[in-house]
Amino acid sequence: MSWLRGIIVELIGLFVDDAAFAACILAIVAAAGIASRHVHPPAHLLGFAMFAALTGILIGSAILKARRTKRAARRDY
Amino acid sequence: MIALWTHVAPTLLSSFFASLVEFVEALTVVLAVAATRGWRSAIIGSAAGLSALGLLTLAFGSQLGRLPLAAIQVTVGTLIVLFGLRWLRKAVLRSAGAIALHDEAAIYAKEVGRLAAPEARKSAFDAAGFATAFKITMIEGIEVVFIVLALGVGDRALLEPAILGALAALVLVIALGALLHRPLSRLPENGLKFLVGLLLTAFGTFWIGEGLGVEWPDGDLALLFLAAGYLAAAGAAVIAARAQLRASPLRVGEGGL
Repeated sequence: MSWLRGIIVELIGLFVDDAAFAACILAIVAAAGIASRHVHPPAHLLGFAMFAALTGILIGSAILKARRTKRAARRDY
Repeated sequence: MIALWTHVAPTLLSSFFASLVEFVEALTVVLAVAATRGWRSAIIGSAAGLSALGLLTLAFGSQLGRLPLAAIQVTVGTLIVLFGLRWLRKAVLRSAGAIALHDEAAIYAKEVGRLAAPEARKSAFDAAGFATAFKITMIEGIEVVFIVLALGVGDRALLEPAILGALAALVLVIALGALLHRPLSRLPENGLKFLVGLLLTAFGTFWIGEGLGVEWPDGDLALLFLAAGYLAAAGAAVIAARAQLRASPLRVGEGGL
């Protein structure tokens, strides 16, 4: 059954590499969903806000990962 | 004509390049099985994996049509964004030098070493070779099926170009594998992941928006603007990550996908 476990782990890994990164993406989508139902922002603004938040997550996550890599390299050095 | 360039062409290309990356990863391991355990177990294992995959696709594919379109768009859009941004982030970090590049030759050598080990030697039925080929075909194949469904279910008219793109990639990889008999280590994998991650993330954002009732400016053309926006953001992320690393005395590598 280890191969089946391997497949399931790989499937989850398709979407989740960095748990915090994935959680932030889900939080943005959830916030967009809640906003569309309860806040009713202008229809085009919601799309732009979601896009801006996702790009912010990408840039922020890359910077954090680079910082962690740098710290790890210093520690190993 | 606009629909062709904003939807069909990106769908076909995304499906082709994303599937190409997955099939190349599968081919590397199947070739390692063939080199160490023989072609028989490699082919039977891969064929069994593909058959199981076909059954799974039929089972799940028929259920999708029963769900409301908005729910599918939001759910699938979210999965595509998770998948696409994950690839884009990895490509950004590889471009910046924060993690090591994916190396098919190293993976091939590792698999050959593992399968050629004394404890994995051949028996009457070559279970190790069969299981390895089966598993990799299933895993990479499921990823391809997901990519095709993700690109096609938001708008059913796009399912055909998505399937065509994946099939073209499969045929190309099988042909190259049969001709070369070695892993395709020269594929610009990071560049492909960058491009596909970009397109998938743009598609995913678009579908989520459609499902939530967003009125995208310029309709379908918004897809191109989204892709351009993500490209700019990814470029900024590479620059920012490089700036973080610049003062570092060493760079630590990290494994592939």
